[in-house]
Amino acid sequence: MVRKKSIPGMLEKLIKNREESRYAKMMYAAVFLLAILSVRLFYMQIVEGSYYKAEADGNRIRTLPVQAARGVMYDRNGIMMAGSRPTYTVAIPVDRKQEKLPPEELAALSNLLHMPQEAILKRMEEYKVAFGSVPLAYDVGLDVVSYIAERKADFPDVEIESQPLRIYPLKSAGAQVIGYVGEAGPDDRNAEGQPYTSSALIGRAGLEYQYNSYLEGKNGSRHVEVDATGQPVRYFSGDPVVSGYNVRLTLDARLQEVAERAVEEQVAILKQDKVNPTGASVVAVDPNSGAILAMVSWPSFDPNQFSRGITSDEWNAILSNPNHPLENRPIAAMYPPGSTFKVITSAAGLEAMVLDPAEKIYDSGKHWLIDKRNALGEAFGWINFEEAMEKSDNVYFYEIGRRLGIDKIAAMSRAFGLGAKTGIDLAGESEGNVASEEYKRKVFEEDWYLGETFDAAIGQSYTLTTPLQMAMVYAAIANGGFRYQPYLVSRVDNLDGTPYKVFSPTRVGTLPLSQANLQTIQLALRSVMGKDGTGGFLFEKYPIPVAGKSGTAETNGLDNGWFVAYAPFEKPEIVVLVMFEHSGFGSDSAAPVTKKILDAYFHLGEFSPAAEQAREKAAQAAAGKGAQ
Amino acid sequence: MNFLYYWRRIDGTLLLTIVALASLGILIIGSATHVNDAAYAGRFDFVLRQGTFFLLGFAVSAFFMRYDYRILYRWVPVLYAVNCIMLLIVRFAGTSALGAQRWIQLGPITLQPSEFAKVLMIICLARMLAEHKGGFRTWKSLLPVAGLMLPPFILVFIQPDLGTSLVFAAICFGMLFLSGLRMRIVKQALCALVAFFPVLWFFLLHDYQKTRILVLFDPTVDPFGSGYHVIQSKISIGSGGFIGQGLFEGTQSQLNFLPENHTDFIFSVIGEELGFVGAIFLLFLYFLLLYRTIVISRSSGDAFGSLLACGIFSMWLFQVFINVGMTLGIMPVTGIPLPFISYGGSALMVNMICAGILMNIYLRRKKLMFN
Repeated sequence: MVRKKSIPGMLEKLIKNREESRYAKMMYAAVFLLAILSVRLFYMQIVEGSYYKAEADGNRIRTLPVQAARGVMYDRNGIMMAGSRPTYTVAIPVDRKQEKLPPEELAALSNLLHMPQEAILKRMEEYKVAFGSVPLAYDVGLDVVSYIAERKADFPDVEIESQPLRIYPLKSAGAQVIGYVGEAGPDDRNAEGQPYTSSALIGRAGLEYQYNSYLEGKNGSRHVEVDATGQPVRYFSGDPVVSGYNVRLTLDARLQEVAERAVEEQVAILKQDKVNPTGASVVAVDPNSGAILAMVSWPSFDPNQFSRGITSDEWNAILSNPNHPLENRPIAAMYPPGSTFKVITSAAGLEAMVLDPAEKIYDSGKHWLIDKRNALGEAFGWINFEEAMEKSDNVYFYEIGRRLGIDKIAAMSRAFGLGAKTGIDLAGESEGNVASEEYKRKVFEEDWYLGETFDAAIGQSYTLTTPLQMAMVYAAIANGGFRYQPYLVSRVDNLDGTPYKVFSPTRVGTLPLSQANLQTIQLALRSVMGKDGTGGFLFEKYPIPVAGKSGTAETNGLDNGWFVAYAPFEKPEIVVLVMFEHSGFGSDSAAPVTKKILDAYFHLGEFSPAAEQAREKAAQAAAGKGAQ
Repeated sequence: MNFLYYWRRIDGTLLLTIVALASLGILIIGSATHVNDAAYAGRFDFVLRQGTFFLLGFAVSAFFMRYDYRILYRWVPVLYAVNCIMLLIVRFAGTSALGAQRWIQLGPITLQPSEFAKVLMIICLARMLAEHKGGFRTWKSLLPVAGLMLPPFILVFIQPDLGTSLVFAAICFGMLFLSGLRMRIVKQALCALVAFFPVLWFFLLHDYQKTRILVLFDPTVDPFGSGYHVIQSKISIGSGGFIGQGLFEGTQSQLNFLPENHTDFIFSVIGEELGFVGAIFLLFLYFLLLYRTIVISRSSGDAFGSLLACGIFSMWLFQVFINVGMTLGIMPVTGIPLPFISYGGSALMVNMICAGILMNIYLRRKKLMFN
């Protein structure tokens, strides 16, 4: 039976004490262990509480980026040249992408998206380790969106993601000027030096790049509380989204398209004659402000490819094209200006009083000091300044060059803005080069020869210009001697259309040329378009008086053809410069394009209101027929 | 002996503590099982079941109050046999869940015999130690104890239920300590354990049990397995701060980041929703519980009663320390429930029975508290 504890005497007390101390020890052990737990609790909840609180919030709160709408680019008449539209992507969200799709869902998806089941599985496999959701079909139609939305129960593992897509309605027209966008990489920083969130779009080239800080706006965020399975439970507002500013361009979308088409057509004609241009440039500029009306660089590309995600085939096609479609030739490519340069030699000659417009110089087909000839070996006999310009005579200008010397030609070149960037609001502009004694000594460590002065006088030699530079040379002559900085953006607008920032024309200098001398040159340029001039065949009977100059610059292949014109002669509104690489005479290759652009600008010929109406009617009739 | 007689003589502090613990448990089970969220079907099931078992346990204990606990002394051989048979049934006819075979299905009731085994082993061991004379000074003197303990221990260990088998060890150690276990034996046992550890590690422990021990040092070794529990539990408790996020407001618990949050990880819910204040209050309740248990153990008029109370004390202390330590990331993850708080009918019944035994011992304590 139960042992009684009541053993009398000393022994009892001894055992009792021993046992008492054991009870106490057990209670001490309990207090000790509970104290450990309390200390640990204190440490975790009080000392490190905020750390764990942040962890808990990180557990349940996901921050979803909300992309700001990128600003729209409008042409001078309000036509959209770059904008955005919403697109829908069928995707498998991040938290589902590791799981296996049930076979019924896979079959239904394959059916709906016209995608083989293997292709869906392959896509899922590819994106398993990648960041973000698995996109199955981009830019699906609203029919697919509503189909999935209505049958959410059949598609538990699929969601519709909505994203703005950058679109360029003019496609390849002006692509190098407008530029394109791409997803921001880890090294990209915004204007405040902050990295971008993933999937943010930033301008990668052209105006998209140049005006990115205005266009991009500020991406916001939305906080969503999720449970352990990743299902959203509640939404909170996050950082607000700030839409980008809209940008108003100086470009004229219609003129841009006409110019683009004219170049394409001209390339086709040249190809029929077995001439293969490697590139072409067009610059149309308002001489009274420097506002660029059109800027073409051929060959071009479709910037829409970049916004919807360029495929490797498309990218390789662009990269392997020997004519570099991504290059913006009018500002970046440098060419010898050829005879278009003669206005500068003339200006220098007139100012130095070595050129008397009335003086006749004998052209025997070659200069009497050095055997340098005209382009086709012609000899024009006794000719004055105007005749020399009309016929683009070389011998006359060799002589002017001889009288001037290279230094004066170089000085006048610089006075016209050659050898320096025009300062247009685009990245990647070239400076070009001005032929000079210092240049030759510096680069070739050789002395200057008279023959090189001859070459320089007719725009060969070491002088290199961009098409834009030459267009601005003629703009300055056309507007009475004022040099403007060319520009593409006239305004940055708030969303409501009120101006946020206005860019006004910037005058960067005046030509060191007397009005009389300037007029002499202008008249000579006018006569180039006359009966006996190199442009006469196109512009002699043109309803608007045109002035300008052709140019043919020797290269190591076929000549580069230049043609620059401005009109109306009395009160110029537009300067058009066209340049074709390796295509022969400027009047043959470039002049027809110039004419089409002027036609379009002044609504003449095929662009006359009557012709436009007829075309519209024909188009309507064709559409009507098609509908029937 | 009538009701008033009992009422005047029972340990009021112990009674209040137990009622407080069980009530807090039911409240937190409610929070962990979303009673506040109408979207959950059957959201009151857990609370109702736990409440029922509490009242049932209370009634059973109150009923047996009329019988002297010393009756158990005579029933030991039967109880021991019942215990082993139950554990064998689990072995061969039990239902398994979470990788272990621990339950017996009896109609609508699911029994967890290893829970009942704890109290049965306490009773059996109490008798053996009470009969033993002369303390435990040699290894040889421990042999009968080992003979008694090993069969159920092994049956539980191979379920596998490492947690409960460790509870057995803790109970055994506590009761031996009170019976005069020599410290030298304890030291030797510890040394042997250290020496034996490689064998344990490489041959006896399951992979998941090893991971749980590794997770103790670095939860990120298995962030989506057993480490996940520890990580989420620590986040829950830590984010509770001083006053907690409020009942039903814990984001970790309410959004199901914390699994098993009404059973083994219920302390995490308390830490998150009631904060440091609530968690310390709970530990204080356990302090009261353990203190009254030790007082009852000491006040018992016989060694059997003392040892019974001591076994219950050891069981509760060990379970509280291991369970709370596990949620705090300082003890390995083992399936040991928090006494009176964790959801589970068998466990709550066993704890109520233990409380009943304590009350019973206290009722029949020594009349004289001083010499």
